[in-house]
Amino acid sequence: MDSSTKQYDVVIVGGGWAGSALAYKLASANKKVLVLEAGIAIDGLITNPDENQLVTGNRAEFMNDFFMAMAKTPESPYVQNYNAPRPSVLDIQPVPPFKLTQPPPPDQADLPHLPEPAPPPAPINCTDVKASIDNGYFIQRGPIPFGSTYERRGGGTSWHWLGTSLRMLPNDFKLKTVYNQAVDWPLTYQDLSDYYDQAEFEIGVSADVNEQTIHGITFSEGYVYPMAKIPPTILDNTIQAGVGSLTFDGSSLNVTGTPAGRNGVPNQLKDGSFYDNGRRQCQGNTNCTPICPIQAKYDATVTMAKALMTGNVDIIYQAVATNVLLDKNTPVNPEVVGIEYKTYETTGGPCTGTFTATGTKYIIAAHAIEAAKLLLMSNTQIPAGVANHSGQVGKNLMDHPMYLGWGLMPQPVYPFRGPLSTSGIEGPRDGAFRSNRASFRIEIGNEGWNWPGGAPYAQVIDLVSPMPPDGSGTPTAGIFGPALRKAIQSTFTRQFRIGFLIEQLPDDNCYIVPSKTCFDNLGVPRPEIYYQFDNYTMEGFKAAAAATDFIFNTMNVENNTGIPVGSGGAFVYEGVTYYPQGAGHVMGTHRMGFTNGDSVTDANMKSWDHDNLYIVGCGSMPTTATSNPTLTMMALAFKAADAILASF
Amino acid sequence: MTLDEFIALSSALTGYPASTLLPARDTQKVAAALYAELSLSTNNIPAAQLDQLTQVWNSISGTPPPQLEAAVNTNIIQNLAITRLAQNIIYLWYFGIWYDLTKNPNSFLPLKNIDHVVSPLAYTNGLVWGEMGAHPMGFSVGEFGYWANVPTLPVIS
Amino acid sequence: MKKINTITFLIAIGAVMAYLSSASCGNGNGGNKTLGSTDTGKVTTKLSPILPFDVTLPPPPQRVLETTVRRGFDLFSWDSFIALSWPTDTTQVIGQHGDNATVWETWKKNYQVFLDSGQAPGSWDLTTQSKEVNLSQTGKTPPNMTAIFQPFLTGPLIDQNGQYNRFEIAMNQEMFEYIDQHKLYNIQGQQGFTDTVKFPEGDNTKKVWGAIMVKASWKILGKGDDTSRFHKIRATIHVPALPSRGIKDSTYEAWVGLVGFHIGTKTVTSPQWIWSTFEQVDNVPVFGKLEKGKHYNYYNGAAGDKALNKAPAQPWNPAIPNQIPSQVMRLTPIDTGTQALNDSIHKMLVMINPHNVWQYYELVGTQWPVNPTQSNTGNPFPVYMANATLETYDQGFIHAGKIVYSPGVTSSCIGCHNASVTWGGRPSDFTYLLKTAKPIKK
Repeated sequence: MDSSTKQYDVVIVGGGWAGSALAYKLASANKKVLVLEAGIAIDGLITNPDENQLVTGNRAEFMNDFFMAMAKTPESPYVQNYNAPRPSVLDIQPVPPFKLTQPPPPDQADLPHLPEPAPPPAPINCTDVKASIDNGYFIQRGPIPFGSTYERRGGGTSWHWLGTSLRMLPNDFKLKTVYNQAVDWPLTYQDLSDYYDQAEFEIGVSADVNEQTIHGITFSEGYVYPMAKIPPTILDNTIQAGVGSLTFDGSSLNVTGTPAGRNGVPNQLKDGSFYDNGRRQCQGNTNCTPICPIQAKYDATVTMAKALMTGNVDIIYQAVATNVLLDKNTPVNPEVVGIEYKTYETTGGPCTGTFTATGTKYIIAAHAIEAAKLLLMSNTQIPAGVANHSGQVGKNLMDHPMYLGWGLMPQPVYPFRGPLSTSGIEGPRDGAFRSNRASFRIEIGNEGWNWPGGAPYAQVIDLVSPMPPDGSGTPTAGIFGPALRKAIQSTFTRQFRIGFLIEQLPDDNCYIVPSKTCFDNLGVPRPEIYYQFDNYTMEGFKAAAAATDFIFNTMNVENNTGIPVGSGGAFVYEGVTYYPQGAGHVMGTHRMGFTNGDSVTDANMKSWDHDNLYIVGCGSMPTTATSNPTLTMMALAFKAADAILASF
Repeated sequence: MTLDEFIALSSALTGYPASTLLPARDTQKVAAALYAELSLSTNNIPAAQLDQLTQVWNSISGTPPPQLEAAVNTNIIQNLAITRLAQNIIYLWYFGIWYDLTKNPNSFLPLKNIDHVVSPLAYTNGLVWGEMGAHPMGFSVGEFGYWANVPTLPVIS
Repeated sequence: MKKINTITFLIAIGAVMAYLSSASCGNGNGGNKTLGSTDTGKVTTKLSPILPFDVTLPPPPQRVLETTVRRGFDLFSWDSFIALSWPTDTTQVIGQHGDNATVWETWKKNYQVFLDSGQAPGSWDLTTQSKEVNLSQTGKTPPNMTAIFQPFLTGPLIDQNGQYNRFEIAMNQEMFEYIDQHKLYNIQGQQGFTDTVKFPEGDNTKKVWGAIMVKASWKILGKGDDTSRFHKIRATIHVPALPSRGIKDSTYEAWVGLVGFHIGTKTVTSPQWIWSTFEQVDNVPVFGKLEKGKHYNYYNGAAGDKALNKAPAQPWNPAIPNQIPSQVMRLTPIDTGTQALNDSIHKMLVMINPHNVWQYYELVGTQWPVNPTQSNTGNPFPVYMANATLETYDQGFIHAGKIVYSPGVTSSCIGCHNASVTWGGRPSDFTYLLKTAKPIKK
């Protein structure tokens, strides 16, 4: 795995979504590219036959791990790797010793308010590396535990992304100008529009253009999505019939199809060609997260395969970047001269070597948290880390914290059928209220109470072995046989859930630093995370709860919203306890901006500090808006690719 | 407990006919895999409980169908000495999961337990999914767009 | 032990008996059936050039899924394979002169039906159809090498000489006529077809054949190959360009040997089709049963198993020098009943001619829908099935020394083909062929 004898045009740290997109674009333009991927190889996607001797994975194995998992979390198909560890949703617990109190009413301003001043962090025992990672890869400093996870292997987090491929709204790029909140992006919707086209083509997005021209979104003349909108579910149509013509807080509750990176019926494109990516059409396995069994849903291995097929890419797996090396001979704005990386043979075994990869240009595309961590770890030459003149690396960590509402419809809606989500309510994503509170989008879930309520298992168990009042394990008699069957048929078929993706603003109190005390099996620091919600977002939660009540009351839903299975991130606001769920959207930690004073990169994701370094990913996003960030990330990656090619 | 006893008891507990649980043309061998759980030593099934469940079942298995359900309820489900074991059999068929008998199945605790999925085919043949007119998450033979149509739920006899 | 031997023996006898009775059922005016009689200069055999219409099963009381029912389908598979491989020269019997050009090689190939221009294909004409053999497919991909995304993760299969396997697909006249008549040979035609695609079904009662499609896997013959053990043809091999490595588009002629053969047959009893698959007998060892010193087409005893059943390194192009041969094993052994039938058919082939190349082909297995009306897939049996040359990398995987199968991912003919659609997005009756259609060029 020694790449030091070969000189590359571009070295990319990260073989996931952004890394694959960049490798493909650059290799297609005849650049020689090296990709360093921290995690394991995916069968069929190696360039060095020796990689077949190491740990590799494939969909069959991942599906098997999924089938055999008791808790079918997003991580369940993807075995932990102690040399390139990743977080797990099962590890999200309230962060001691912080307690959250509600902010005081205006006439009680002298009472303590959220958050409490931080005492020194509680010690976390990391001496047994593997056991400690098993308890949670993140060192959570709170006050709120960070709720989202990611993957480190070929293909990255795309393996378990849901598939939602929404464009951002024009106002999302101008939050400061229009709503006097946070910052503007250093580019506009129009700047990104062509790149959205490219990204939707590469992924293969199924949607109806007419439904997507919301909140000022425009498309290029005659634009056609690669494939037609995925047919909506019975639940989608039920909600549309129930509330689609109503409004909440001035926002339309119209239900529209959600553009998705999963194969539908192909369209004839603007250029006259008929779209075909060779993959199967969705069969409604209802498993997009954590894994599509048939790759009807796009994942980044599709693009990495195309990159490798050009013959211009070398990819080294099980190669963890640990240090970004700067030119010692240039005191001001030194260029990057190499990436040090450690290799390993097995996911629990020792380091097998340290090497340096060299190229003309360097790209860090390692996911928001790992990219920031790498830049901050690379601090032997500049104490503040690489690319960090602004001090913003690792800062502004954001997610889309989600509010879930769930209940029983009066009539069956037949959950657990179709993709996990086919439609949503996009009206609440923009409006005057954004001056005061976070916006959100409403995702309609087709998987019943699976996420908040552990359905169908928990509900069957409640019927068959009801929990005794003392919560102990003593046996109790429940129902069985035909009575059980009738109960499932009459009740479970009415389950549904909605989820609100709530906007977060960049916040100095939300950041990640490399831990000084806790390390992974290679001795690489683990991420230490400080995270919270501000009033803007908590007001968004309050509105989400009110919207849920409104929708549920209008539709005569039996409201079962309560304490979800994943309750580790709870907070209290105005006396109400909320249970946010991470959406898997990790953003902000190496944001773009207008100047080097308050941002890490320019609008092309080029570091202000190092002319040959690009940092690309959802970490590039200065604000979160409400759209699932992946499509935007890919558009940004293509924009960065163009800029990189132009810079040669 | 013999395989035949297991199937007959399972039929009464799950509400599905024996011919569904152990089809004449058995392509996926789910019944055999679930039955094998009763002999798996790591499941720590107290022998006395299994014997008692077997004997009780045999004593009522001849009950004519209209009264059988009530007999199962009285003699097995309400009999707290063997109810958890009987309920575990329901979970085997509905989920393809064997739950640790010493804890409540709806609890994650204690963290060290022997809850486990029996096999991928046991999971994909779990009864709960079809009961809802659906399919196991991660395994569907439906055609594109089937989700727009109202499914037919299985008949309860 | 003794009991098992007896049963195997009885099944073998039963197989031959069932074969004889099926041969006489299905054939109206088929080949010479006399047992062992010889005519001056004329070779006779119990094997038949007449394709079966559908499976023939024993009477219901004798039907046992894994033995007698499987036997019926396996016999159907062999009947089909023999008839498809029969010489086009009707004065010969199969393998009479060792090797022979086959009936299926006169069928239309997929690129002769789904033309690049999207125009209507020429009518069925056996004399012109067999003239060209263009082998460009190296994976489960359309002939166009730029589209590399496969339903399953597949990759090229590389032999001991570093040569890529090539694939081709052909269909019978019944299948062709359905496509032609319903104008399904281009994209626009399929988009306009809103009925349900339903290919004609083979029917024992009506004595009609249904749609049959075949996929052949070919190995470029070279060093180390005993060519007398292969059915051989001369083919035009296509090499796609790879600019980064200085490889240009090119073609050349070579002798290729058949190493794998799929047959899909649509019948009345099996609306989800009957899936038969054959391999050349030297292809691969069975997992756990490696025979030391034996020559395999896709396994090298000296190479070690770390890359077992894994796709080769990228980029995939047949002209890249120094390719590492694929290291392949069959994970699921051939059923013993199927193997016994293979042995008995081989004996009949050897009786025709000791150098009969067709004795070097074995039935790996047959998959069929056990309960066709129960669900879209009809409860296929066996649950999984793979040809080591065609589904090399989807056979399942090995964990802690055991084979693990993943429902929905590990190769199942019916399971995968169930997802096939037309360009209109509607089910295409278990064939991916329709998706290879091009648009009409205006």
